[in-house]
Formats: sequence, structure tokens, C-alpha cells
Amino acid sequence: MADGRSAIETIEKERPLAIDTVTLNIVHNALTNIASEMALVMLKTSYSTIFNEGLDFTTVLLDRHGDLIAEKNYTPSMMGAIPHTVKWAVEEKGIDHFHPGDVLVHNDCYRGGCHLPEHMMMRPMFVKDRLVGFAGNIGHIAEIGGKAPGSFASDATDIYQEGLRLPPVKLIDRGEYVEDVWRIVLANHRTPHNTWGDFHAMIGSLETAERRMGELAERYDLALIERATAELMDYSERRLRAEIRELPDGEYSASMLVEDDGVTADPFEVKVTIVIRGDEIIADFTGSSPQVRGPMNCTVVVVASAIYNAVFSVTDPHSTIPRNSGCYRPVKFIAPAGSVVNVVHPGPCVGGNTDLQPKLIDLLLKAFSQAVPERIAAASGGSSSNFLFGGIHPVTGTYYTNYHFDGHGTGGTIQKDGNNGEITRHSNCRNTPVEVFEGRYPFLNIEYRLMPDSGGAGEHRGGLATTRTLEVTADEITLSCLFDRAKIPGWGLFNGKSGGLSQLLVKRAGDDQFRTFVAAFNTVSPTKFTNVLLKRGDVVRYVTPGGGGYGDPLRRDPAAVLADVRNGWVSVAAARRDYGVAVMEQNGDLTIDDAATAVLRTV
Amino acid sequence: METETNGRWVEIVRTWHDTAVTNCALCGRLVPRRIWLVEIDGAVLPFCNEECEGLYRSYWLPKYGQPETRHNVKSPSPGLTGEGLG
Repeated sequence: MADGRSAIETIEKERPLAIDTVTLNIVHNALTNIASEMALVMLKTSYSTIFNEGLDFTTVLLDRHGDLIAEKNYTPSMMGAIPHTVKWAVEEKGIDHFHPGDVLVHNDCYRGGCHLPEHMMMRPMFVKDRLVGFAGNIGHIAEIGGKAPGSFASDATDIYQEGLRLPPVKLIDRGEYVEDVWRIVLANHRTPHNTWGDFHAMIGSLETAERRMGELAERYDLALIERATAELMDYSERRLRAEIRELPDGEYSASMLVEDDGVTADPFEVKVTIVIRGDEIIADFTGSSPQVRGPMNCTVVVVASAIYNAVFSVTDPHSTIPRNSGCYRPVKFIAPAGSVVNVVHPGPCVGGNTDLQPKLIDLLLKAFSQAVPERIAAASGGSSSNFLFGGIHPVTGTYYTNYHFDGHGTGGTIQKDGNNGEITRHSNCRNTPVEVFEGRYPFLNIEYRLMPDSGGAGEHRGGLATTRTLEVTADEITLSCLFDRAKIPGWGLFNGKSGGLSQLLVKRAGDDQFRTFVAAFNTVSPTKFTNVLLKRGDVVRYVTPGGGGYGDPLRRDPAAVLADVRNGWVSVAAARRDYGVAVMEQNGDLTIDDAATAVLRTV
Repeated sequence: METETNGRWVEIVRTWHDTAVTNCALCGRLVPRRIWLVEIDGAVLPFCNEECEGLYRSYWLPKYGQPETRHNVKSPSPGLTGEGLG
């Protein structure tokens, strides 16, 4: 602030709070703790590794109008969905549709879903027969049918190939199973046992929320809680508006090409203009490509998530503003229906959530970099590197599937290098430990490490990608992959260089070299394919993409380059070529050749 | 500043077996039940609310021009936005 006051001091001076801050904090923390306990229930009771290891879910509380009042946001990709989706479901069904003990499920991409695997469940919360709000969660169900085990068909040309689509329907009606709906769901998922367990983890989480809300209402008057949540939303809105006012007004545009859609080899374009006007932001995607044939389209709530993610990164990077519907009021967006950023029926979209969304965040930040360069990172790897497989387990004899992803490199910033091997920023998930992975699935991990020279060169280097090599230990495994950034790397900023590309290779049993999947299996794309049949002894190696560098690599501290070489993160050749640093071996150690470095950096 | 409008709220009435959906002509969001319908230069456009209409008039139209000239934001043809049965 120009007068030395923080944004929060300013807004509190401008508008005194209607409820004292102690009470507000108590109510806010109580609601947030309920959302956290909901998440813990899901973590501890789910069956699939995507839940209990990956943390691919989010839990929320909403008021009776459907406005978000608290969240435990493990997965930011869902933050744009929840505030819209619950409200839309309530509007569509009508408030009289909801009774005590009900649970609705919903994954319809054209009605607020992120992509088909992500199921939203909601439960009305009643206290003494009065509707006080809704508990909600979104979780990635690992197998929901469709053409590929794991429900990630990277060559899907319509939604029906991606799995079972559910508009908002009741799973539980007044506390009783709606058996017909369950039977349809379980008959269409390949691993119904896991669906049963994960659905009940979600339902249990919602029951916990209603119980805790009742306990909170016993301690505090309901009217006070409602006044406090309304005040908290207004407070969050004022806080965010104050932060936006600090940004320079203007229009900032950026565009990018995405390499292909999984069905054709043609690239498509996404354009965005960020408009900052006083205390509001408009994110305008007009002019982006029409929706594509393959599954790289986004749903409208995925775009909303990307926008909120970018805006919060710029305005509130340490998450000091309570996350609720108030935060969303100053942010408008334009996502034309029928374009690649707002898919309409019957367009497929499973990869739009996982692999277009992280690039949308990077694109939005690229536009913001024209306004606030000191707050922006270079592009991340930008691909979730989705690796899905299934088959008959050689030990149990039962059918299994798994959805796996690994970390990529994040972009360098003005302060520091990018992070190595981090799961995409929109998902914020965890990788599955090798021990858990091998204990459950018939793959042997031969190698799992950071990938040298995959971080884009820069004054602050991009984060390194990961590489993993896996050997098949069952007679057969059906593999589907959706990796992006195999042709177009993540960009650097302010003379920083691009990050490394992703790669997928296979060495068939009896072969002596790794080959691309195009060469070995005649796939159209080297990194987006469906239902390849691997045999015992086949070895798959995959490399995730690296992050872009920030600033001129010739300005990087030579000591930092030497440390990277010693760590095995940058090769001696790349140190010389990209950073102008000559590294030599001396007395069994690596050291800098100062004279040669001076010459290299002068040229 | 108040913007002149000839819009009106319209309730979307669908049978339970109609699976079509309606998107806002500006922001692209789902409009599940109540639609803000506005006639602008001979075209009837569905919006979420008056706020989207206002942004359309104050920002979108001056920047991109009339709907027939705009890129990729044409009113979707029947069968694209919905798979309605009737």
C-alpha cells in the first residue's frame, strides 16, 4: 500500500465488521475444521489409491442458498466447480426436492462437472427440521466404465466413450439406498467394489458434516452462524477487491498452442485477455479454438477453477483470505460455449481437466506477467501425465484398474528455482509411494528419479521432471496414457528457456531397445493412446515435462550451476551450453573453470 | 451507470426426460432454471442475469462487435448444446 497500511487494515478502517472478529474467527475455524474432518473421513475410509494416497478430492460446506462457506481444498481444480455445481443442482431440482438424509450424486460435464470421473455428492444439512445448508464433496472415482480401463480414453470422440454420465440423482433418499441407481452405477463400473467403498467414503464424509453442524448449532445460535457466514463472505470479497485494486489497470493478453487433441495431430489455440478494472477482473477467452474432437476440451467449471487459481496466486499467494463464495464475486469470466474452454454435448473432456487446465493457469499467469512480473512463475510442465492400466491381477485373480500420475517440474520465479517432481498445481495431489504401487499392482519399479537437464535454463531454473521405468509382472496389462507437452514445451519467462518435453517409450520383452509407442504399437500419438496390450516382461519408461526457466541463464550464479551439476540435475555439457559455465574435474571433484567461464559469458 | 434493458426473466420448463441444457450467451455458464432473456439488435440472447447482460453491452459488444461477426461465440446450432428429445 502506498500509505504503508496493509490491504486488510485499509478495508477494516473503511467498513467496520458487523460481528466482532473473535466470534468471526471462531465460526470460521469451526466450519473449516468440519470441512477438514470431512476430508479425513474420506482419506481414512476410501478404497482407491487415488483417494487415500493421491488425495484427489475436496470437501466443502455451503449455506442454504448454495454459497460456499468453508472448504478443505486438497485439489484446486475443483474450486471452480463446487460453488457453481451445488447451486445449479439445487436450482435445477428445486429446494423441495431435498429431504433429511438425502444424498445426490452428479458427474454431468455439461451441468457443472469437471470431467466424468469426478463425482460431486451433496447432502442437505438439517438442524431440528430446518435446512441450514449443504455439505458437498467432489472425488475422482478411479473407474467409471467407458472404452478404456481407468476411464481415460485419450482418443475418445464423444462423452459416451468416457464412462457413465450421471445428472443430479439421489443415491440415498431419506436415509435409504436408491437401489436402482446403485445397480446401474455398479453394473457400469469395471471395479464396483472400489466404487462401493469410495462412494461410501464420500457419503460418510457428508454425514460427518451434518452431525458436526448440528453440534455447532447447539453451541451457537443458528442465526448468529448465518450472520457470521454472510459477514465472512463479505469480508473475503472486500479483501480480494482490495488486493485487485493494487494491480495496475489494463488489458493483458496471451495465447498458446496446444499440441494435439488425442484424435488428430493438429494443434489448437487458446487465447485469453485479462482485464483489470479497479477492483474487478475479467478473464476473457473469446477467440479460442472451437471445441476439438478429442478429449482435451474443458468444461466451464474447469476454466473457472483455472481462473480462480491464477487470480489467487497473484493476489493472495499465502491464502490469508478465507476461501468462500465472497472471493468469487470480483472475478468475471467469458468462456464461449462450444469452444475448447467450454465444451458442449457431445464433446469429450476427460483430458481437459487434467492436461489443459494446468496450461490454462500458466497462460493466465503469462498474461498477468505483463502487469506484475515479480509475482509470476514461468510455465510448469503442464501435464498430469496420466497413466492408467488394468487387467486380471496375477495374485488375486480379480479385475483391477489404477489411475496413476507423477510429478513434473514447475516454473522458475523471480525468487527461486522451480520445484522438482511436483504434481501439477491444479491438482495438488500426492504421488503413490513405490511400496504401495508394487503391493497393489503387477508392475515392478526399476527406476524412479529426477530427469537431468529437464528444467528450463534460467537465472532461476525450471523444476526437474521425473522419470519412471516399470516392468510388467503379469501375463497382460492393458495400458492407456494421456500425456501432453510431448511436442510443445512449457515456456520460459524473461529470457528463460523452455522446460523439457514429456516422453513415453516401451521395450518389448525380447527387444534390446526402447521405442516409441507409435513404432511399437502403431498408435497415432506417441503419448495419447488407449488400450495398448502389454505382456509380461515388457518395460515402459515415461518422462514427465519440466518447468520453464525465469530470467537470462547467463545471469545464474555459477555456484548454483555447479551445485546442479554435482547433484546430477544439469549435465556438464548443458552447464556450458545453456549457462556459459565451464565445469571441470579436479582432484576427483567437480569445480568451475573461472577463466573459461568468463570467456563463455562474455561471448 | 444504469444500462437500458428490454430483458425479462423466463422460467425454463422442461419435461424430466429432456436432457438439453442452456448456456449463458456471454460467460458460457449453465443456466439451470431462470434465464434472463434479452433482445439485442434483433437477436434474442440468453444470459445468467442482468450483470452478464451489462458486461455484454459494456465490454463485449464494443470490443468484438455484433454477434454475427464474432468468432466462435455464435449461438450454437440445435443439437450442439443439448441432446433434447423434443
